[in-house]
Amino acid sequence: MANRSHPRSRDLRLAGLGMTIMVLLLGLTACASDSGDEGGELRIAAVLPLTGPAAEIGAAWKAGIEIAEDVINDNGGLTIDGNKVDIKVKIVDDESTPAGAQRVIQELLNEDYQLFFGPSTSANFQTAFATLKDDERRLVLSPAQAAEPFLTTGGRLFKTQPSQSPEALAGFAQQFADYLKPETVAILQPQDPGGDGVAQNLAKGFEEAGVDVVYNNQVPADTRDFLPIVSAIRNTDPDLVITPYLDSVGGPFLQQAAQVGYVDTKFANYGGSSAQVAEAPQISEFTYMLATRAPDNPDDEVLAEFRAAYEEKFGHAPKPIDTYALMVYDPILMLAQAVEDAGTSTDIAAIAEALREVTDWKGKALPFSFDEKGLIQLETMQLATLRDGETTYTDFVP
Amino acid sequence: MFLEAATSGFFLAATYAIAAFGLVIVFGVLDILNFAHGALLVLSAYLASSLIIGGVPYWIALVGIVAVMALAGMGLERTIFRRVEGEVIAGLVVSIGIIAIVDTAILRFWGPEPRTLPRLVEGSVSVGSATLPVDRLLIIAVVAVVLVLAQVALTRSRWGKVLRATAQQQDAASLQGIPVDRVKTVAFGIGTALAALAGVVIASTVTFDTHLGESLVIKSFIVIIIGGVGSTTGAMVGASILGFAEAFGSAYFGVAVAQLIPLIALAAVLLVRPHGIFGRRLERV
Repeated sequence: MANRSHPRSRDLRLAGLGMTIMVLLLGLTACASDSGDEGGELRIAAVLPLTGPAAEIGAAWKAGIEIAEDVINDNGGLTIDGNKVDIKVKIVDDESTPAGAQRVIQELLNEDYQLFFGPSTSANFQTAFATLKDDERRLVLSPAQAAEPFLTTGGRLFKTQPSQSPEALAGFAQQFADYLKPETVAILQPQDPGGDGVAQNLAKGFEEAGVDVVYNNQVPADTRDFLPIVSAIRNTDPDLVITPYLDSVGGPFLQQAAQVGYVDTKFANYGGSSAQVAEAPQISEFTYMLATRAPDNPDDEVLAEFRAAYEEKFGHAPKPIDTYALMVYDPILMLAQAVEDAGTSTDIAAIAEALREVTDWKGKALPFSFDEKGLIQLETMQLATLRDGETTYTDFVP
Repeated sequence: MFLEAATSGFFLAATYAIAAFGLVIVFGVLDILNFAHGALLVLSAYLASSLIIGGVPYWIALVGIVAVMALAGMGLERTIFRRVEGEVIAGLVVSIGIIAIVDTAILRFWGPEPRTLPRLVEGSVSVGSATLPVDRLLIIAVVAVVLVLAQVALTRSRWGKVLRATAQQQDAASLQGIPVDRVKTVAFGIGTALAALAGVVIASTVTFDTHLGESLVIKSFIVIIIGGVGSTTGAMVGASILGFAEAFGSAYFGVAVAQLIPLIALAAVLLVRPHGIFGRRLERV
């Protein structure tokens, strides 16, 4: 005879167990979720390309963040409303893809992060920022070129790389034209939003400066065979070749150019570093424009403290690509100072206002400031020219 | 510019052919579209980089890695792919799992930064107004010899006949006394060995990272579709079409046009001859 009560009591036990597990999970989630401080920590999320074509830039940004974190925490942390807190930056990888950036942003929102560095690259910024744009509880710092059109007076978005507006990029082309005096130029850039902007606006700037653009092309960031492109560029006989802004693209391009003896024209770069010629020492002259300053210049007193902090942290001197580290090092310190000045880690409007007012901060390397729209200002940038194994640096006003 | 574009075309054709050849053999004998082929190719490149930078002579590293990866491929077939033989979705899932494991291992042991190997041979030769890198010419020659030998072995040797018989009809082959399971294992090993050869060869000429495998496996599939699924001759012809189209497209019409040409060729082949130019399984004698 069937025992009708037995299956029912088993079902009830299972249901009770299930509900208990659910309550426990909800409780754990509630405990994990927080806003701003977590038991003495100021939480900041950093969305960086640690893998993919922009990984070398992501690694430099990561280095800058880690040094900034140490500078603050090793000096007693921050005092917010009478309480001592350390800063804790959670660094996540967006894999250099828009989908990756959206995914990690959503995960960070689920953990209720309010302060963000990134999305950091133009390719990822627009789609991922759409999630943050109208959320008044979030403040975002980003070096991405694509962030610039979203800056608003009194807003919660801050761009940590000097202007890359069409006018600014055209101005950089003018700098190259004045410094290197070419009559003709070839431009090669990666096929991404950053490369699009650089290619179009540099071309415009060169034309305005009276320089003929004899070649202007973009290649996929995963291109590996540049010989046909080298050949096509060489065929146009330019006085100056602008190499891709990503070292991962510009480096192989120059290496293969050197392999076929195309070394005697002038090469220049906006956005990359001298790492592009590391495997092509035969290149006779390479000029690169730095958005900040050259941290690998041992004679630059301006960055002496930053270099010391870098060497202490990583055991070696900064590399040329670490000019990108400076784009995040000071801004993170400025953000921490703004939180301290505002006396709150949760009132985003107050923090944003304070950030626009910050003029001095612990561990300062460069004399940055944010304007009323949140665009970082830096009085001078640098051109570095590598010739015959020697590098010379020239400051200029952008 | 023509000679330089032609050299580049030969180089690209050689790399696509050697990458696709292995895929064709695996598909022909085991009916598996091994999406992990690219991951195994790039793993070989990273292994080569460690050995060569560590001081092992290039050719010894090449032979060693090809041998090791052949054994690894045989092990993968015996332990994993045999269990999903004939099941397309399961085979796809398994391939994706292998890709994830390999990519994670590469990032863990070698990091995310792109790598460059020392040049196989330095220098260039001048032919008329063109300057051609010696290392690429050497690689074109080596790959061409390997492909010709592989094709001859496939069509003329006893083992080649055994492979083709198994690809055509496993049950009949088994009835003829052919050890079908062992043949499948060896076929997978050969496919992986060719992937390893492609990986080491390509890594010696370009800067590479984990994305090398993805882009090459996509190109390999385009090559196979154009040339004909299951046809090794088709793979070589498809690779040539793709390689030369990209090289001459880049040189004369710009990169954007060069990117379109293979897709146009693919669409044209699918419209006119959906099974590909040589669309058959492994060729009959």
